[in-house]
Amino acid sequence: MILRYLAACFVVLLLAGGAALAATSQFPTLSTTSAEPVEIAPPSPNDIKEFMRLLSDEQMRNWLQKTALETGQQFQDTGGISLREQIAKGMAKVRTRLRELGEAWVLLPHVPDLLEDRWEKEMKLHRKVRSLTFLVIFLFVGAGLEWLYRQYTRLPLLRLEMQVHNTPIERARAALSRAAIVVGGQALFALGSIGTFLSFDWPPLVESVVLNLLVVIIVVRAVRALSVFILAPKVPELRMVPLSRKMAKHLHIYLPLVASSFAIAIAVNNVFAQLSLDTDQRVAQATLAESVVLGLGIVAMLLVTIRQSFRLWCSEQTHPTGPAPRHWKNYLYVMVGVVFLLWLFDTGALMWSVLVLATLFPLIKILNAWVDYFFDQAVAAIKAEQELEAEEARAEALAEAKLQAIEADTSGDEAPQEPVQKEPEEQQDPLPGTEPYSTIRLISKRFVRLLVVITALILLGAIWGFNVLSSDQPASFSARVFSVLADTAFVVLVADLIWTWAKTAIDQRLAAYVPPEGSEAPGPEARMATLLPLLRMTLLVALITAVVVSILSSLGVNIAPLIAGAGIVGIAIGFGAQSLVRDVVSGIFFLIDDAFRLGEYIEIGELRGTVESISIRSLRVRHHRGAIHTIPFGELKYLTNHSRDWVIMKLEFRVPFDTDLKLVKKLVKQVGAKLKENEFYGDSILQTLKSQGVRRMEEFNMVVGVKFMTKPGEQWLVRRDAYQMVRDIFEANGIRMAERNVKVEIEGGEGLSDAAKEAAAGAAQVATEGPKAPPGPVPDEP
Amino acid sequence: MNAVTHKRAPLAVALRSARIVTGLILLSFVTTHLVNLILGMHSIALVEQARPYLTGLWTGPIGSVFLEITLTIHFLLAMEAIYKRKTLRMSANDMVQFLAGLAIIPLLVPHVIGIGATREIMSDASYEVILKFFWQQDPIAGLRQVLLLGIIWVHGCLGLFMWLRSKAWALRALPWLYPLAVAIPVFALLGYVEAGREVLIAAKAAKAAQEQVQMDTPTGGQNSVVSGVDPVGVDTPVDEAREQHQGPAAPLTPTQIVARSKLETSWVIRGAIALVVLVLLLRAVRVLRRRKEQIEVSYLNGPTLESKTGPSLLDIARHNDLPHAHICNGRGRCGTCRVRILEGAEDLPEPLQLEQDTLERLGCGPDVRLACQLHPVGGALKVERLLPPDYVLERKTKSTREAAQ
Repeated sequence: MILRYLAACFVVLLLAGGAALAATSQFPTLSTTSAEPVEIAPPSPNDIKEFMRLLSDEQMRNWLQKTALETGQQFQDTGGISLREQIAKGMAKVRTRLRELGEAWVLLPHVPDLLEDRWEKEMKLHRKVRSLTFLVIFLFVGAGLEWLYRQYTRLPLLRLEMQVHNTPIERARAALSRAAIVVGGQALFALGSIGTFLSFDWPPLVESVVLNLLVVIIVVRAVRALSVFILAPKVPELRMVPLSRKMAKHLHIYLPLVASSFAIAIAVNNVFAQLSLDTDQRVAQATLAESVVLGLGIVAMLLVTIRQSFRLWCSEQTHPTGPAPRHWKNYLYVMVGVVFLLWLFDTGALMWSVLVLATLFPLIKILNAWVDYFFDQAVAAIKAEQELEAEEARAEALAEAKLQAIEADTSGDEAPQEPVQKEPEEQQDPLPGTEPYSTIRLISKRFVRLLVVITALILLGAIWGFNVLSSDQPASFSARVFSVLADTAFVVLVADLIWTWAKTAIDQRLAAYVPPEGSEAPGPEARMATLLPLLRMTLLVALITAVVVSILSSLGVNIAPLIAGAGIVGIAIGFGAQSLVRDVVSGIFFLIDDAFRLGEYIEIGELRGTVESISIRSLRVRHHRGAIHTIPFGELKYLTNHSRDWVIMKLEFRVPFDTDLKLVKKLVKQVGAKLKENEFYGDSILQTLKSQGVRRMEEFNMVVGVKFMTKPGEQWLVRRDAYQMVRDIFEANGIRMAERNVKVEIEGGEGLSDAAKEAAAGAAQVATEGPKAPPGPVPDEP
Repeated sequence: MNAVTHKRAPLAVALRSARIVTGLILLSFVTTHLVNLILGMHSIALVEQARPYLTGLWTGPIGSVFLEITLTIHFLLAMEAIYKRKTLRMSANDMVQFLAGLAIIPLLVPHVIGIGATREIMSDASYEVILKFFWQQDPIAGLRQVLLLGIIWVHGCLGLFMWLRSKAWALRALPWLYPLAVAIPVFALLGYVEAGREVLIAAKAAKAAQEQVQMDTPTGGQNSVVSGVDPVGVDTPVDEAREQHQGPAAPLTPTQIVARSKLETSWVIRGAIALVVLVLLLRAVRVLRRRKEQIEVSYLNGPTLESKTGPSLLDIARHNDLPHAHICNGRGRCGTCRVRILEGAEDLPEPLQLEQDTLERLGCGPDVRLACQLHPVGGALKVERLLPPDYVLERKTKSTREAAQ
């Protein structure tokens, strides 16, 4: 709602801008830009010699002295104008202007006669009429060419207007093509009419009149074309602004009307300015009176336009919008009034500044609203497309279900099968919670603002005669103040643009990062979650520093010692905090290398554990038995990561020599298949359990190797089950695990008693085993 | 030419055909006249030489009468069309043609009567005399002449092309006719300018040689007394004479002839304008007396429009900027605006003969009507546009012909 209203404001503002343009067009001293400094190469030795010779000439010296004196005086005259003198001069100028206006007022009733006299003197009736005849012919030629062009472009134009456009980009493209076609016709018109005009010789006044007339016609038509491009009163499909058809039509009538009155006023002013060039005072006064009357007319027209537009605007609102429209209307009234008064007093530069500054704020608001509208449209288009797809998917699913139901019916399956409504898969937004384009939308708005402000600054500079873009220090105080302000505004806006962009981009990435839940392995984004806040902070500091430094520099502070001082301090701090710096820097590189992520199981020298947190300086690792290790990055030389991609685990079983190896292989395969089917970790098994055959022979048994591959972290669970299942299945199939048994052979001991046998066995056991500790737990197990 | 083809065609079709026929006759005269003028780019003498073969074909005693009668008929037919219009909110094309047609009256009458008067005085109105008059003696008349040329040509071409566009046989020729339509008036104007320059140079030379060049015609200074009706053309018919007053009737002095022709001019213009005003008034009365009701037209795959009764369906669509095919611009000729009535057919008035003919020619069913001829009388209506708005005639006519065969 507010957007539409703002758009209306914008249009009216444009008009106001045009008004001022028209009003001041008769002051040619508007853009007095300072001369560009020109690089001059040093003189050659020959030149210097020649110069010396000339200097020694008496005549030359006299002349030089004389001119030096004169220019010195001149310089004194113009060089040292103080602020007070400037103001006094301005006041005097206003006073003269007032007197002139008074004289013109007195003369007003006689103006038509005076101008007519002058006009009659300039041209005889017959010649005038003949010029008019020529003008009609030119226009006819131009119009004929354009008509011809239109006959051939009619159909493409119609097709363009009839297309349905889904995205705003498409719409803008179509509108641009349409505008291009229309402008092509107008260019032909201009070419035809001006071309024929140029092929005749004209007396100067007639030339000025006819040319002015042609220019008025061409300008008005161009404005109309622009209005058609933006407002598209007849083709809502191509309208670039969120206005209703009625509003668009209304503005399409008023806008060209106001523009044409401006153009006509300018043309009339031009012609009369030429008339009053070389004649008496009275014609000049009459010209002034005439231009004031025209200006009044234009102001009246502007006020009416503003009033009507706001009235229509308010009547279109379905719900009350509060006092905002009224405020804006009054703002525009006041602006038009002030600008007109300033123009009346001939204060060109002041008027322009007021105009630029007054337009700046609403213009930014309107353009922002317009950018919003554009992106809203784009988002709506995307949503509509998604909905359409969802709709189609649903329809398909429904049709499929129906088909199935029919098939079920016809095949005689009497099962009471409800047609299952398959829900289409949810459209997975890449970034849930954030709308598309949110970053680019923000940045576009900032960028538009930057552009507008820069344009305004350059305009203001041009108005006051400063060259904003030149690098040398301006002379006067006001110019310096202006240049400092301009520089500051520019730097702050650019920094803000960069900051907005970086911040939204970083925040969005961070928002998109979902920390892994439970045992889930963290993705590569995890390190981004560490790095990005750091980056954001660094950027902020850097931007603020840059802004402060450049503002200082534009204030005239010599920043070279500052930077050098900062450098020295930096070096001192750097030495002091060497290890800290080393930690931070190597940490950044470890993170960039993606050496470890949050939640991964790593091994650093003797230490091992799960990465629990990563800070700028250090890494915190929790051992599987609970201990926490804090390791500064600077201490890291190398690092082993156990949680990447896959893990191979090898197991061994000892079986007696008489085991059927084929059976073992088969059984292991069965176990492997069963493991793979497990609902908890089955998906994590990359290569399931398989037998590797006999790995080696030992004294009393064979070692059968098996192995499997899983995702990192899953191997322990799989190993546990694998051991258990293999043991069970071996037992079920009569395969014994080889046990260590000591065969005690007593020579000639066939007749020993049981007790004696036991004693012998006990002695043998002690002899074979010895006092050995049982093997410790496998170390690589959490 | 488009002779009245349907023998049993009713009045409306006959009038429509008559308008085109008279218009074509007038346009061909204007064309020959302009082609004659183009030769002025070479010299006035050449224009004069070619005159019997171009303009001269029409300006004989019979030709002149024929042209004047044709012009009158065309004018009256236009008045009839305006009277019958249901709404004056017309399309841009129609508006231009309407205004151009109105502007022709005050511009053309002085020229026609003036040429007649010139003939009476000088026994022949040669280009040389006329051009001298337009360029040297009375440039205002010259300006009026240029305006007249442009306006007549625009009026004629609009009518011609609107008619041609609805004719399948003309489609091939149209792209070639467009440049011609621009070239003829432009070159004619250039010829006029060039001839004018010749005249002016000659006049200067004559002035330098002699103190005075005596024109045997009165100058345009004493004019503008006759009427306040027409700001541009009152003063003109100085040199010119008139055909219909068969010369030998009474020997009048040139001054008398000029005075008489001025009087005639003013009366003819006044009469024509009075007629136009009368027709517009009558139309206004007729429209005001008609009872207005609210109607609602909804389009299949399109918007729903609201309107008062009176305008045709095509007008309603156009007022609401709804794209709608209409190649012949609402003359009921081409049938491209045809719509299928989906709902509310029972309230509609029966098609008139003109519409019926076109529908029969196109082989449409009873539920199809021409949007340009259908004036809904109230209530709700649901229609479907049968042709896309960017429809090109050529494509379809072939296929329909095949379908017909």
